[in-house]
Amino acid sequence: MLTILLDGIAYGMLLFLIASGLAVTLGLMNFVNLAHGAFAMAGGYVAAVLSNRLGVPFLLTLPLAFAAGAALGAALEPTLYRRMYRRPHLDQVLFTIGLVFMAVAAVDFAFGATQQYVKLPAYLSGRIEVAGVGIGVYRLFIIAVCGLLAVLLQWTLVSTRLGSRLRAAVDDTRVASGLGINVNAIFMSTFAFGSGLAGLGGALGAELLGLDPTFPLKYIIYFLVVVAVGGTTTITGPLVASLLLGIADVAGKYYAPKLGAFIIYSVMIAVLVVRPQGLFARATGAASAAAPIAHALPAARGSRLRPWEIAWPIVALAALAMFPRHAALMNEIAILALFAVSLDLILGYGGIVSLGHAAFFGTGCYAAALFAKHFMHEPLAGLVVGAAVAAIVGAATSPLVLRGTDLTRLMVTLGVASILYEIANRFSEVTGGADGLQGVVMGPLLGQFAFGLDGRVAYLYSLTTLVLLFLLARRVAHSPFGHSLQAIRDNRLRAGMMGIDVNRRLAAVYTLAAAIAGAAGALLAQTTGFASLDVLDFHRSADVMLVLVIGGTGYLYGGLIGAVIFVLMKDLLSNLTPQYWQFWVGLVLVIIVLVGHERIVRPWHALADRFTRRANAPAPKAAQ
Amino acid sequence: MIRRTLMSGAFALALAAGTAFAQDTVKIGLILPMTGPFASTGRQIDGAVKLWLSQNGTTVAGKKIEVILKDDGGTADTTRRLAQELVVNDKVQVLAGFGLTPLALATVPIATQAKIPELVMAAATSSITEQSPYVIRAGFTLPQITVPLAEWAAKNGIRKVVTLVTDYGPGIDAENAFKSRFTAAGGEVTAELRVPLRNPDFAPFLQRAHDARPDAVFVFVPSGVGSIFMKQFIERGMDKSGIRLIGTGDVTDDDILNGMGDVALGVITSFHYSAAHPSAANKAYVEGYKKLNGTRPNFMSVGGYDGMRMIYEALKKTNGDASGDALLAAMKGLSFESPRGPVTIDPATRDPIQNVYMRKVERVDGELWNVEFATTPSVKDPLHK
Repeated sequence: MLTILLDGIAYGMLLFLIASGLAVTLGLMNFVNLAHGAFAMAGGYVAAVLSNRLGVPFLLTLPLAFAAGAALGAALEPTLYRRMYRRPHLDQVLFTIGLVFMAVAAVDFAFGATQQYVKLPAYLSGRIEVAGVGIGVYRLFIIAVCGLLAVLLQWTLVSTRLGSRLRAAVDDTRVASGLGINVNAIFMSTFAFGSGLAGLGGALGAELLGLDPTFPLKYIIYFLVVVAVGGTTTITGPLVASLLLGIADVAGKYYAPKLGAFIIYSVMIAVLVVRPQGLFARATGAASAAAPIAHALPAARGSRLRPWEIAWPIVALAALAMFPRHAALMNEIAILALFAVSLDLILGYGGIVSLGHAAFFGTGCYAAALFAKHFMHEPLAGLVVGAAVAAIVGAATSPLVLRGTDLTRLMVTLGVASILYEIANRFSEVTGGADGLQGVVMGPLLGQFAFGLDGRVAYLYSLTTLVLLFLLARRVAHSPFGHSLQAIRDNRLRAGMMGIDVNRRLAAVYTLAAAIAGAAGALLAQTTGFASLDVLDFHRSADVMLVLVIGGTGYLYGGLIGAVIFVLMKDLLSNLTPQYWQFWVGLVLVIIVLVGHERIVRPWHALADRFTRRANAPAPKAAQ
Repeated sequence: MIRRTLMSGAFALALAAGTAFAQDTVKIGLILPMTGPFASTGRQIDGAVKLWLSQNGTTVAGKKIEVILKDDGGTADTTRRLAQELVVNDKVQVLAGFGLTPLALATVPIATQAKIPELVMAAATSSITEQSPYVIRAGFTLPQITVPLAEWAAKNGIRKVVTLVTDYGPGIDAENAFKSRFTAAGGEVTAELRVPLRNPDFAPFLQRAHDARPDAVFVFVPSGVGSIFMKQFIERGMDKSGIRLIGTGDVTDDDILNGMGDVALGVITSFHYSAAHPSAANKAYVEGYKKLNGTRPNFMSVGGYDGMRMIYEALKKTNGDASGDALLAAMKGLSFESPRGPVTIDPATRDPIQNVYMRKVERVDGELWNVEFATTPSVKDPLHK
């Protein structure tokens, strides 16, 4: 019992150490740094290389791992990150995910894809017995180191001059710099310190968490959970949250191994529903007065279809005639585009950010696959079933996304998707579990057109569905309902005051988006005759988010453009270099953000913007 | 109109050129997870395929061999789409690779529809080959390597065992195979623990195993996390409380065994391949592989190497006839001396029949190796009788 408790504390402490840096950047600097895990990985690899190849003693590698993380942070903050502080959160997400991709591929290139080890000295391994309770020495060591650092961190922030300067700089950058505080230097050192802590955590944690190139992607969810649950305004918050999660996770797996993975996400959702700002948030709404989630969006114009809007389905058809050999790839694009359009409805119009949209995609996918397997082979009926089931799940979970900040919603949606993933895994008699669902036989479309190997029927089917549902989404977006959504997105209070039933409308659009995502999932199940757990996986949610951010949110075409760019880019690069294509994808993402994707994807808008800006106001900060 | 005729003419020409080319080239579509959490599997197999090509040339039975490598990142619908494109666009005559069970399963309908062999080099769930007569396996199945271990345990004073497997197809296969054979031999499985595939910390599961006080813990985890598992096993002092660790060879994967350090010493596993297998064929293989790729080959690599061998041998038998059914017929019943030992492809089940070895981790010449100490000859997959 006590052993389990200590194991949980050690695990939680480790999460805290790595996540505290994230809490600082997110809470104090209001910057979404999804690349945080990469700093931890850097620290881990530094420790591994030093201790294994150069024979540096383990204890000495720890400060060096910290130094490596900090140095990396200090180098990247002024060169790259600083430009991003004032950018919308979604740009930050795109940018830092790009950095993660580059880091993953670069580490893979340098050290290979296998697990790395940090060899522990003899005095830290093994186990001691205290009053009949066995305790791992190394876990004790972790608890001691992290506990010490937590105290130090809290003291620095609250009681030192540096801490108060930092808080001043965050609260009002302009006044702080007016008072002679070197804001840039403070931000840089804070960022470097947070990165250093991550590096130290990566080195300490290699033993428990493992260390391979996918580390930053694997654990970013855990770090985000800690920050979301703990709130970002204090150090105690993430600390308590880490401990809670660590203990709940370990104890849950011990006492109820069958429930294991559910527990961490259920705890998170429960906390966030009760306290959307996290456990220890200050009561002020400071955190929600954040940067806008996305770019300023063009005002909704008339709902009449313009000529070029009729053109794209024709282009899509022509693509099949011109590249008949790539029908399967185009099918994938069409499905991803539909999925992204559904996300745009809630994100671009409703203002709800979601990192768990795959929940509905996956639900639709499994529903359609199971329907085909057990009831009917007719694809159209399966499509409706997939959308309907996803809509039910969407409606049922919509109350969860109505409250809180962007971060709250990101984490709640992620939690819902993860729980569905676990359910699909648990009920393997129905879903096939981790092996995937076998025996899905799809009948010919309308009783006439069989899905052939060349993928043509599949593509035409997906494309038709995409066009029809796109028109539906467009119709909705341009309706009074859609306009009311945009009012809600821009200012919820004002919208409520105008008499818009905010919650009901958000729930409605959430359900609609779920249905469309479900239809996209159903298309995947039907055109591939297969469903496996990865349709519910985190990476699916993250991919669709990337797609939408690449294409731009809030005008529906972003999903289409983003899907074309994303899939073609991935396919092209992974054909050129199957091992390291992620690096180049990451680089492209980073460049897209640095140059500004408005300028790449919609140059005409950027130009128009410049004109209006020039005409209206001198816009002092716009140069950023 | 004229333009269209011109274009279709060009198409026809290109197609004709394509088929003419295809006649003296045999294309192999190799789909592997080269990125993502299972990238090490892909790297090992890719390395072995390159080794085979460098040793045996790219011409066999008058045909030029062309291997087209694709990365599926471990995502099933990508695997399927890549397979589809390889069949439709590249006109491959063999689909090979497949790092995980769902990836192999997602491709089965494509191979079946195209009537070409799906050559599974890594995925180890027993049921894959049952899905279609076009699936054939070069690697191994988990029940195949688990059963000899259960028998060995029962004979060596182990009575009570806790099983601890990763919660997916191969893990459940291993759990069932171990339990049925071990209980049949008079042993008792006191607890069956399943660890989620994505699991950062083994502590709670190990504590449960510890509290059950068995004679041994039987473990199957995918190769990458095996080392984390083992370190935590030792850290928990399980070895000191007299609990032995036995498992399938994934736990002491040759690829990472050296990095584990002394904690791995003495661990007993059963497997079909060890880089320390004492045969001339294997010595040459390990040396060649290290020279080309810089790392030690593991069991995944051997699946890739022998998969290439099966294609070459089959082409020799058919005199270069690369049509799917001919290749498949030629692959069935092939017998050859692999680096792992003698292998026969069972014509009935299309699974390899091979020796399974009991091994113990020992330090030889400053490096850790899985040293084989007992052999169960010609083991068939027990689920396919």
